[in-house]
Amino acid sequence: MTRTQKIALSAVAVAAVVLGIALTILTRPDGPSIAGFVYPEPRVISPFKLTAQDGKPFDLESLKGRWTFVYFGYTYCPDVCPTTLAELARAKKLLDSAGVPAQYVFVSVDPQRDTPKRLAQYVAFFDPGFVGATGTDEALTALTRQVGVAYSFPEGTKGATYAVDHTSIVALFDPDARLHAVFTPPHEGEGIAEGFRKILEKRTRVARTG
Amino acid sequence: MLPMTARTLWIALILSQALPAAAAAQGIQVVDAWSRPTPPGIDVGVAYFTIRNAGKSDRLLRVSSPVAKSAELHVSALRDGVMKMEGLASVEVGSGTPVSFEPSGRHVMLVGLKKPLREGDVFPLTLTFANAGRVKTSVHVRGADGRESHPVSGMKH
Repeated sequence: MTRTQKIALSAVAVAAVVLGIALTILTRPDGPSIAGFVYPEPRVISPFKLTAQDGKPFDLESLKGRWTFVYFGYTYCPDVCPTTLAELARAKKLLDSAGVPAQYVFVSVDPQRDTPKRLAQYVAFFDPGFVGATGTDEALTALTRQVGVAYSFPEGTKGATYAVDHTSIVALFDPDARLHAVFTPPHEGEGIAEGFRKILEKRTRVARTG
Repeated sequence: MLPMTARTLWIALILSQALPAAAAAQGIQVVDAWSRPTPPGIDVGVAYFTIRNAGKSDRLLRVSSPVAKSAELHVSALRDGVMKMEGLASVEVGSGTPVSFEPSGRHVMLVGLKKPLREGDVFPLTLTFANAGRVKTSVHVRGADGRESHPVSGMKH
């Protein structure tokens, strides 16, 4: 499959997810309102296998047993990625201090430059509890396609200064490793923390009444 | 004689403060310039600011800073749900309308930083306009969260 075909296929996959999301929003207005959307039925995710900053696998198992926020980007990004990670760190601080535990992961879609070692330094700068992960193009798309994230290298990957186009969402997985919600840009720490608390409240209510 | 000299000095002092301000008020002003500290191993940075133009319409052509090998005018833009970073050849600065360079929008990308940017650092940035020529500003490096962590003491709003 050529790169163009892959990008086209990714685009179709993303369009399908976006359409699903649009229908979800239009047909189910009773979900918690967040800066993004909550899936009425959390989406089951097929297995994927990335590598975490410590060299260990980051896969479906890594998502189980706790809520996980995942942001997709790259470290060479000067504007949007540091902005989002700073806001996510702010959300983590707010949630930590409220005693709400979660896992926070930055997935780099630029494995050529973002080695696990570089990722370890990078994510710790924003919060020492952040996890970095990446993988081959194939390993990355196994996950990104399922969460509606597209990425491409508009000017190729030659040299050290190329930019990467990427969907700038924060995905939220539930403790059963299902895609539960998606936060859309512009990201804001308070909004993410508040959205997450609404999701948790709703879930507790459903568990009590259902 | 002494009071006279003191008065002359005062007038000179007031003029020296007021004249550049008056000149700037008639043209381009670059205010609130800030940046983020750079994570370890990362040699790219960012600069944000607001351009005010009290004069005729102008155009920002390029930027430069001694802290980086190059400085590029960029915009982060959502296109079909994908965030893209696009180069800007120039930026129009209309008369009376402030132009903001801000997170997830227009920004200056600093490429090849000579040393890491740390919270509290201040570095120079020169903006070159088609009409106004070169305008210098000081960029303040904020905390990693991009919010002003140390407001000037005694300042009340």
